[in-house]
Amino acid sequence: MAALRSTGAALAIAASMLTSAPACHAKPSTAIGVATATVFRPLRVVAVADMNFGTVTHAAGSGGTVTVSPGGAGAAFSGGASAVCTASDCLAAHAALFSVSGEPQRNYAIQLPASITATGVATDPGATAPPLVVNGLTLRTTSGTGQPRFDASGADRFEVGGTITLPADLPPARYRASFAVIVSYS
Amino acid sequence: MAPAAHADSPSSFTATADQALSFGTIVTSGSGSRTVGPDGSTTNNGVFPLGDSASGPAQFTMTYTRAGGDPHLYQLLIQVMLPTVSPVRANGVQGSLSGFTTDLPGVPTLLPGQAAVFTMPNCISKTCSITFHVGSTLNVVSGNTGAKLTFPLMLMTTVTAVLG
Repeated sequence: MAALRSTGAALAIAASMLTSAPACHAKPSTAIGVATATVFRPLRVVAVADMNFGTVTHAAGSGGTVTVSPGGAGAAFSGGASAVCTASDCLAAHAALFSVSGEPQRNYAIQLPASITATGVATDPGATAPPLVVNGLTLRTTSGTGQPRFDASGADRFEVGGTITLPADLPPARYRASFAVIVSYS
Repeated sequence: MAPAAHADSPSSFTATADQALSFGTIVTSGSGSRTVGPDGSTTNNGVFPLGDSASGPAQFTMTYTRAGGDPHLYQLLIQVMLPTVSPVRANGVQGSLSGFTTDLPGVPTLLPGQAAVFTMPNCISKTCSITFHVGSTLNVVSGNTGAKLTFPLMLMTTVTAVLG
């Protein structure tokens, strides 16, 4: 008897569901969306030319500065500093030059260090060459002096100049430094 | 006195795409992936997002409108299927989508080509709807080029049962 009552209850519930549910006749529906992504060309920077202050000297007991500027060949001198060169050799000094590529017609940013420290090797045996600081870094891009921007082919170039300070007691030496420039999309 | 005229409308069901799934603007050197979750969260692997374009999940809305004059409380069984999304190649950049996730209750993932069933409970008003989001992972392989990638994102939906 118990089994029969259970079956009856189950049938009653099923009957209730069937009578209260409407026919399912809503048509299928398709929603058409999209997924999007914009992929930019990766940035590439190549050092084309080093920053070069040329061969310089300074008056005995007098320091000075040597400056190379973007867009100009040769160096500018102050204090007791001067060039050791003749004729076209004097134009050997120049700013650093970099080429950069990225997404066409897109702005980018260049980050320079605040200063660069150059280490020297004295040419006289027993002499010590103190480190020299290059500061006052200046920048000029091919695309202009404002916001750096890639041209239609995704190319640009920029120059970096700076000023190196020579102390009064600097011995003859050869100096070298490396510095990093950071380029990013802005 | 003229008799009133009655015409019960049939039930209807629609799915709409409200918002695109956007991965924003990214840069990659070689290959990488970017995942956008249904909650808008993002994770990057080998790609670098740029801040000038927003990313976000796709948004869809499914709406069921019951037949006129029907006063009962229903729960709807809705079948949801995402067809296979083909890879896209443009200007040397290849992209593909995988790992579709949703915030649709009971349907955390969508496998392309496979149906998932969602239960919409307590449908008593004239119109019942649910809005949900779909995220995914973009896998991208790029040379020294850039491109805009667009994938069609189709969602096929069907009411398979109306339970009273």
